[in-house]
Amino acid sequence: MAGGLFDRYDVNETSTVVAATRKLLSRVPKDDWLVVAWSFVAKIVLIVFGVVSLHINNNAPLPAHDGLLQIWNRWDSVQYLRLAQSGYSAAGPWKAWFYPLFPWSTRAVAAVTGDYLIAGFIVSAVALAAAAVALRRLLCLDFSREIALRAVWFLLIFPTSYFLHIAYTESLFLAFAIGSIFAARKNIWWMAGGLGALSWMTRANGAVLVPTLAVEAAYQFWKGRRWNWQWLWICAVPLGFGVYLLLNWHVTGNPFTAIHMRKTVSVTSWAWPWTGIREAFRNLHRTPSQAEMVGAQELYFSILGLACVIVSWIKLRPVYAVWATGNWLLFSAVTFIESAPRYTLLIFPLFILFGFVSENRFWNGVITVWSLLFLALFSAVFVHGTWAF
Amino acid sequence: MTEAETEPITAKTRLGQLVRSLPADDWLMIGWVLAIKFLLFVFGAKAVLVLANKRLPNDIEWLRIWSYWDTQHYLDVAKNGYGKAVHLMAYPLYPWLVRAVTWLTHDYYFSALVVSTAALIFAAILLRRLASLDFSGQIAERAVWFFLIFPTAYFLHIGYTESLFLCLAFGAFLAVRKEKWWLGGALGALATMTRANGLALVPAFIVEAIQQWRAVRSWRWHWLWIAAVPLGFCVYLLLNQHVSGHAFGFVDMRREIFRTSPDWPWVGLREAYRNLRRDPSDAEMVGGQELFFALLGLLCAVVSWFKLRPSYATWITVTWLGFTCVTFVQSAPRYTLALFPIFILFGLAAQNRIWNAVITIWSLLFLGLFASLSARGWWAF
Repeated sequence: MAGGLFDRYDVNETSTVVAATRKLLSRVPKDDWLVVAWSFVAKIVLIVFGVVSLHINNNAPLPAHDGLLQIWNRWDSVQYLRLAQSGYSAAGPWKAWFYPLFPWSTRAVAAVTGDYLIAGFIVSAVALAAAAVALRRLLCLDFSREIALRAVWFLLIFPTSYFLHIAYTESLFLAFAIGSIFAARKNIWWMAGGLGALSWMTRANGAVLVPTLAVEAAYQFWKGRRWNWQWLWICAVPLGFGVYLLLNWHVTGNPFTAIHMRKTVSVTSWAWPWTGIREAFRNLHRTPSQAEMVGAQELYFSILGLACVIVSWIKLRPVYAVWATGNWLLFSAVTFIESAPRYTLLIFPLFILFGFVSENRFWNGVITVWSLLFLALFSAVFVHGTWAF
Repeated sequence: MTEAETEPITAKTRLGQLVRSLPADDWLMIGWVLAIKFLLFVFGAKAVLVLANKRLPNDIEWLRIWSYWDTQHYLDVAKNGYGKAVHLMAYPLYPWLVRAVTWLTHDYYFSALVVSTAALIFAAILLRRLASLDFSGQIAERAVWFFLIFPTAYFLHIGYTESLFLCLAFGAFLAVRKEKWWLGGALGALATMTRANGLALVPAFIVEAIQQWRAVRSWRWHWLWIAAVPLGFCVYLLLNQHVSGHAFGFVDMRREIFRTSPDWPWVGLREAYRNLRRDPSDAEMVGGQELFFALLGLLCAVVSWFKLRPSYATWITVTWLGFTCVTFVQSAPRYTLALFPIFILFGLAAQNRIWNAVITIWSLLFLGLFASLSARGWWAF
């Protein structure tokens, strides 16, 4: 008898938990769950693909420890995880070159997981889910539900979208940057400033948020002809950079060390965009593999980014056009264009334009096939251990 | 008005009539086929540059990177006829068509691409129309989409028989579904002249005839056209007789070259499972992937019996048994392309947008992987 009462109590408690969970879940729109599911599905398929590709192309077994994820721990990822584990040091060649928020977030999560690589993946996974939701909601302000969903789809399958899943800063940066613009569009300017600061603590491209948010404020002023004191929150965005300068000061004794280091650790310096593009053309004469990776692909994605910039000014709200222009100039206004395919990921207005174009099912097919075929190629090169942007 | 002024208008009108004669959805299929072919060929070239660090010719010759494995045999037969026993692995219709087109192009390899392209365009249109008989336009369209992006879909574009065979098989199915049994029989015969799998049309059509009989409860003499299907295979047997002096000469040839012989399906699957212990690359290609696609085919064969028309279920079951009832399962991922009810099931599953994403991402990533191997001349099914 007692058992029966206990069972009934248990069932009631369970049903209360289920009801509460359902209530919580129902507060989030179904489309948000859809884009979150897409981001996880893309991750799982990509991880499986990485293993199969490594087996076939390298004829190599998986590394013993964290093998599934370890094959993605290459290039910058190694630096971020080292920073998360050991912190910044003046002794190393990189000093405080890398922005701090991603390694610090990884360190915080690693305190729970006990594994830095897994922690890096968790940070990127959560950030990507947040970025996907924020992008969808942002686009729903101006466009149809279908265009918004397709834009997220094209972000998730972009040829360099593997960087969104691994221990790189791209997904965390996009989550903060898109969140910041979304907050500005919703007139929650304190949040726009706060998220903007976090975004600049994640990558240098956060600087582009200052003109972007300023243009949004100007646009709102132009529309309403009323001053809004909240717009001053834009001034909070550079605080993220302030943290970076403080970090440099703390590590090396000079807040501007990283800026001076650019000449020593990087092969590139500021120049007119055509200088870098001309250099990419010259790289077409290298060995076939290099000609393709540091020549043709850098060139294609730079030109794709430029086309997106131009069309954005014609078709999109100024806030998106400024974001696209600023980010494009950051990676192309240099003497040697490097990683343009990866940096193009950050020009999210490109995915809005893809969303427009793909209203036509033919173009939807073309963009999807192009994106995923080259995602396969670049991610195969990356897990192989070769540089892929 | 002068004659010269009226001529362009006539040409334009004719073009307009041609465009209007096909539904817009068929034009979409044609667009997808050509766009995917273009992207796949460019992708293959890029994969050779990046992964093999190999320079490619600047002119159109770079298209020859896909000329490996069976393509060589088909081209050899097209060029020189059936001279050697090994040529018997090639059924005659594809090389004969390539030879015929070469009268125009003067290049056997490019003729093979032309035949495959034309066949694939028809295959895509016919599959859409076939699927539209039972399902919505959207499901039919998605079925073609998944067919065109399947992980081994590059075989549909290059000098292989897959696109021609599937074009004829889809045409035969559509014809019998529309009760044009003479056409079904004729296209079926051409299908058995293209690949051995064509014989699976016989039981599939018998089941279709039974289903039609159950609907009307009266005998139709035109069902006897089913008997025409094996005629194409008879042409192949005659060729065997001519080349090796024995109508079933291909049986010995296959045993020698492929080292495989008929057996229960679990024997071949067990062997594929054992191959997982080879070195990583072999374990993946002749173990993991063979096993995965064989199991995918089995799963879809089972589901087809519940969800699809019995003739489709018969086709998938018999075709699946055709490549798994052997001592050594080989090229299952490629043969799975012929199990077209899979694409209808994918189309049904993809009504849910998560499954749509899963199947699309899986298909295209692995299409990229396998195509990059094939373009480098590696064996990829």
